[in-house]
Amino acid sequence: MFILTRLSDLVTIQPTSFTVTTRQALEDQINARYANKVIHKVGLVICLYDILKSSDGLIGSGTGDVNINVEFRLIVFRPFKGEVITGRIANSTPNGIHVRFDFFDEVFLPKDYLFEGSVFDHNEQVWVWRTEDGDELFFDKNESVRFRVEEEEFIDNTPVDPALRDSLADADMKPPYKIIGSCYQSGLGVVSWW
Amino acid sequence: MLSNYEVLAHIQEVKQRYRNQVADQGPAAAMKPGNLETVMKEVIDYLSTTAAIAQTPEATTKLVEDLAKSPLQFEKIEVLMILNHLPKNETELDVLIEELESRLSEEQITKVLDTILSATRPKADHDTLEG
Repeated sequence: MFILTRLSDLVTIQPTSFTVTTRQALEDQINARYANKVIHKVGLVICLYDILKSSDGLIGSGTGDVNINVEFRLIVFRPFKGEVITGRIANSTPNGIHVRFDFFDEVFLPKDYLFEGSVFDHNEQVWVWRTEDGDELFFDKNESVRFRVEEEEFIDNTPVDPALRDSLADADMKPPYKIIGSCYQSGLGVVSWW
Repeated sequence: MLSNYEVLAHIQEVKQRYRNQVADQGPAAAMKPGNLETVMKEVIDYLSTTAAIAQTPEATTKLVEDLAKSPLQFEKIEVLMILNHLPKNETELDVLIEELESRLSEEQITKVLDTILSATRPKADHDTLEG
């Protein structure tokens, strides 16, 4: 579910940070820039893992900033296709079930990917799986649910020139990283069932 | 690829380093970016609900070695998922391993489950001692 990604970037240390050690200043800058953010086609960055290489600091003219080229590795949340993960049910709609982790909210289990014989109960607003034996199993809110990752979707949210935007709807931010999961194999579904 | 346990260990180490710094130089010197604090807390919250919280480096290494030793030829990602989930029964294992029943016999499945169980047991004993 987590991977390491190697990146290199130019890090600027401002004179106000000269009191802390260079290493600490670099780590803070990299974490401030990447932690808890999605990199397009890479995944959700958790935090810095380690620093591999760094160049000498160069001071640009005009400011007192030190510029350093750094090569480092990040811990990134990027489950692979087919991986089985446990999350919590955030809410259910007739279209499917939204699942969340503490640190990531954009997981969706579409209705076509649920167990055969699953129906949506409009009164209770939950999905119910009617098994062949006639049992009714509920996908209750906040239950731990195990699912398989089927697809991932990255949406590039690079700002668009307002003059070029077609409509206001385009201005809505879509989640930059989304996971589509499935739940139709025995062993998957609410953890306490098995 | 990192296992859940490695991520948890890394974040706890980072937190500990900041805590030491607070003790040495006072809280002002150990300010960290807000987004880092948020994500570290949330990831710890999540991983605390998984099997990772009870794992130790020794037990993890032993489990990986034991699984590698068995003649069953697990793929690397399968070992990773076993580590992250520590399946307790056949159904749970079946989800993680593709075509489990055609690859392994009944006895082999039981053996694998025993191996996984023995890797998790030290913590369970520890709990009863403390409790």
